[in-house]
Amino acid sequence: MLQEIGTIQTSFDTDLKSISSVQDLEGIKSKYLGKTGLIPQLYKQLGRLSPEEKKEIGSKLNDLRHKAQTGLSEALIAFEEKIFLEKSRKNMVDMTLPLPKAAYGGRHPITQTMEYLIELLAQMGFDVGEGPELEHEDFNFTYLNIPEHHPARDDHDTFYIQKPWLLRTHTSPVQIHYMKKYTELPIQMIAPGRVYRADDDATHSPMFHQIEGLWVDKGIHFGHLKAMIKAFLQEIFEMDQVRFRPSFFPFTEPSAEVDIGCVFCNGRGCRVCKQTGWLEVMGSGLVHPKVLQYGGVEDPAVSGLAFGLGVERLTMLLFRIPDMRMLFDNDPRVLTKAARHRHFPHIREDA
Amino acid sequence: MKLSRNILNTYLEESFSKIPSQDLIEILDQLGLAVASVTPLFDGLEQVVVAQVSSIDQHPNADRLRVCQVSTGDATHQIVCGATNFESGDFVPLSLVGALLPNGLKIEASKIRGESSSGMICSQTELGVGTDAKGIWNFSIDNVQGDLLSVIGQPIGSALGLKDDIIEIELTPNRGDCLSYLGVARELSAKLGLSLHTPIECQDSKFEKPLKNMAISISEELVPTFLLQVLETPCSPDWQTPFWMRWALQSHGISSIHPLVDVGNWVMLECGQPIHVYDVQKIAGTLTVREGKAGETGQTLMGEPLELKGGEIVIADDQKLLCVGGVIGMQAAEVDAQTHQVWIEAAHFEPVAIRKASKGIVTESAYRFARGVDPTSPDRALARYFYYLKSLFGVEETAHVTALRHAHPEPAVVETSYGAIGNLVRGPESSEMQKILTDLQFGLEAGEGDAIRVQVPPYRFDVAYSADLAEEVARSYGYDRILDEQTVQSRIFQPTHWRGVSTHKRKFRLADRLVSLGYQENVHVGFLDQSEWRDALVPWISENMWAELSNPLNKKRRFMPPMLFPLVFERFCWLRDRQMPVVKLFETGKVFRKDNDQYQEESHLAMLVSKSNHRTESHFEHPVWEDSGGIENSDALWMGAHIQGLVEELGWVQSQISLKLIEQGSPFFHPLQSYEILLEEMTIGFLAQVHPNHGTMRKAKRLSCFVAELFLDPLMTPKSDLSVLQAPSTFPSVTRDVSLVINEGSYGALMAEVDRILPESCVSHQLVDRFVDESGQVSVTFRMTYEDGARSLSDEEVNQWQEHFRVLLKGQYPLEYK
Ligand SMILES: [Zn+2]
Repeated sequence: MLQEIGTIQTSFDTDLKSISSVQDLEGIKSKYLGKTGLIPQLYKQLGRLSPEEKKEIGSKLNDLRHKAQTGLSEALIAFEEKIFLEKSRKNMVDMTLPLPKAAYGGRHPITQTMEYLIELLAQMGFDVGEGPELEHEDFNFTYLNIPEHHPARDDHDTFYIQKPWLLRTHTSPVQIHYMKKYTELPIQMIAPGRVYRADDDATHSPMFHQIEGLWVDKGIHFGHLKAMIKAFLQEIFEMDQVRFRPSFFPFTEPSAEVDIGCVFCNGRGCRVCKQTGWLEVMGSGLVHPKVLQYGGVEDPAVSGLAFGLGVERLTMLLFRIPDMRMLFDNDPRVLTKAARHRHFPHIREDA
Repeated sequence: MKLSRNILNTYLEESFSKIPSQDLIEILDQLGLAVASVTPLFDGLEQVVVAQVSSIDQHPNADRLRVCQVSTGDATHQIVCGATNFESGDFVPLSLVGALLPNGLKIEASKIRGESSSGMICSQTELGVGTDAKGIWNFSIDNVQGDLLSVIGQPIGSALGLKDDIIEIELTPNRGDCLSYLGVARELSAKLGLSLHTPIECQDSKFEKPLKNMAISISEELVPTFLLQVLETPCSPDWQTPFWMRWALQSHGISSIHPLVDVGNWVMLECGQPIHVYDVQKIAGTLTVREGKAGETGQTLMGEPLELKGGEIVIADDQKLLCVGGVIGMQAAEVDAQTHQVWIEAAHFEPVAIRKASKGIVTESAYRFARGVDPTSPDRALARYFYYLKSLFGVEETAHVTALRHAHPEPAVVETSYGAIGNLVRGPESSEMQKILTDLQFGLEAGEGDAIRVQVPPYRFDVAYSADLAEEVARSYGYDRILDEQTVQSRIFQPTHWRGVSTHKRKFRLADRLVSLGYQENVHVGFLDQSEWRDALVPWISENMWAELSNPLNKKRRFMPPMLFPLVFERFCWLRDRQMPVVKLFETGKVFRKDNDQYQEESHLAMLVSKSNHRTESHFEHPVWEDSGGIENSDALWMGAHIQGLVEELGWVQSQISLKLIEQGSPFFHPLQSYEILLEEMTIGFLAQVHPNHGTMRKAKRLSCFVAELFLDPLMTPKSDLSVLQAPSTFPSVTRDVSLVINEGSYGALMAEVDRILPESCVSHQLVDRFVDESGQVSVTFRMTYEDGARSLSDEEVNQWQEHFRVLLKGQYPLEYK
């Protein structure tokens, strides 16, 4: 009988290796473990044996049955896995293929820059002020110390709607709106927004964006202007080279043009900075006494500083966009690329 | 303003000429006289030399060419040349083989039609100087000074003393006083502490009474000073403008016309005072200074017809206009080769009058008068003019200046103190301020304490306040030396009152939300062609509500957008024409409207989704495009869902938007797919499909395009909900479905009714099915969820509520339960 157990064991192992379907497995199961299977039949023969033999052969037979059972269940799991993989192979996505494009849109570079600057200036304590784009000429000019027939008016290439209504040529009128509305000192505000000038060429768009800044308080002087603007520009460009040049704006006195060391060549001179090593980034000055008057600030001890910057120019620097028209074509091929610069990395590193 | 460095040097003490032009850029910049460019003349032109033509022969094979033998002293070069404005014996510039000209031309030995040519005789423009490209530069005709024979063969720049740097400065409108060599030199002299060489000052002129044929009949305000000098000596054809003067005018862009005119122009460049010369023989009757009348006409010196608007300052005789004062002369009194006798005018004109009169006319004179010329300079300028006539042509004449009027204004005075100036500009001591202002020719008178009375020089129209004086001090002291305020860091970086910051931040969050939903933000210049959009916008904007530009750049696109969606729709068409038809776009911005002569502007948000029904045209797939529940045009539904998200982003967390079909909508939109968007009975925008039969959509049959416009202003102040947030219930919820038959398009109204009568424990309801049978009857099923935070609900009580609810609703809708 021991011999028989050995033979069944061998033929079971052989049968199990040769299966090719779940039916085969079922067949083996009934052949060896079924009611009339080979193993139950051996059990039936146990009765004829002596107690000692019964004990020895019984335990061998139990081993055989156990092996057959686990062998079958393991074979079933392995076989199912095999079938699963075969099936999967047919409809599996190959993840080494190029990834599909996620349907992610993008912010426009200009508004990204605006948001970045507003956030920065808000952290510096500036409130955001608002004024109309379709503005009265008194606010756009007269209250900013640009009287009628002043040559500075001609320089503005103003779009008129219907005199005295015009499209604001700068964000500076918001200075007046804000001062008239909020009289409590300190007045510390920025005014971001669209402005318009009748000028259209490679470097000018008839609509563009500015951010105006105003800080009015007792005892503000030119030293505040310099320190504040340096702090602001260092935050954006992470650099110390800032230069103030005398200039002229009717609404500030003294007035200063602000340059930064060229971020593309570290001040050595390149095409972008026209070999000067400097890039003009903003205009600034101390608020003209007439403008303070028009804004309703009467106290002679109160003075102010103001600044204004062109968002497009800064956007082009931050996103390295060579042509202003690319900003307004809204070509997704450009905008998608621009969206990747959204964190404003330190721009000098790969310049 | 262009300046020759060589000429500028002559107005300052000699050490100035040692300063390299590159360093001068920084100095001028620091003065506020921004340098636009520095152009070196004859730079790198060492191989262009003075040469003399020794003989000229006709080219054997070409009618238009001549073969010249040209001497450079020790050698003779054969040159084939097409120009004919030179003769044998003339001196010319010769570019030798190997020379590289400013225009990039490299001179090489060559054969032209069989004749060898080893070099090139050049014109001025070929050498990068001047504007004369007509013929070669003939030194002999051009009256170049000096003994040319002694410098033959030498590089022309150094041989003729023409090596120079042309410095172009961009003057701000307040600095009319720097529109002359003397003006700029005055600034540099104060900044650098160098003495100024002022041309001879005139003695106190004795003014003659006007002659019988001279008159003035205009207000003293418009013309405070009008001087005429009669030149008694007749003009001589021997008078010739010297080369140096022509060269100086030319480097400024002024061409040589007549010696008497050239001298006037030169005096203007030197002192800033424009001068005008009249041919006396062309004056009929009396020369009168008066106001122009509307409709008067004349022909300007530039050969263009001019018609007066009235109110200009004009100089006329009995019959015709002679000059628009301070702006431009007329051909009628033009000085020419036959001119025998002249009167010379030096006057002061009021800037605003000149600005008005010179609209559209650009002249050196108008440019200066509009920015303000020193009102005291006419006397000096005339004296200087006659100084040149004497030194150049030997005209010996005492000053017979006729003053039709001579009124010098009182100088402006600023009462201030060193303290007041120092409060704006920290750094310079009082003594330093005093020196700077004195150097700039301000008159200082000390008052009590540190008070000062400052007399402003007559040419500084821009100085009226202490702040202006602070700028003068700061410019000379140096902006870079002014101390930074160290306490600034503690004063800024401190939140003040943030009233508007959050509004902006919330708009940016809206944009971010749309971006994560797959929309691309756009920014457009934003002018519209009304004729394209008038009909489309009629439901909201009638024709007379459009805000129109009176001076547009583009005749058609001259309207401000009254809605934003046209801008993104036009972009969509642009992209579609470039094979990018499937897009999701949005833009925020202002829209403009005219209401009874008042202009309104509002903030809007426009969205656009285009979808291709043709699979291969789609480059852009996303789960949101999967059709839901068999409902067509799921785009619109998803856009609605996105708008609901935006509304929530703005803080309307408790409110559901609903859409209402627009009955009489825009012809631009699909009549069955145009919806008004409502939030709590407030219209907050609209959403619609662009009509598939609309012209531009017809071209792209397989595209559908949806647009939405959201009115942001009313959304910025959401209804706030201050109730405490409840923890979610831990007890199971119970649901009941309600099915009912409705009219198409009335689901929003149904839901409003449901909300009104909803049982208290019903925490939510949502549409779970919609079915249209063959007869077109629409039935919907929505699922109501009941919940109680404190206990489990029994079926009985839920059934009771549901039954009550059903009874209330039954009056209007056929109901069936599932
Ligand atoms: Zn650079």
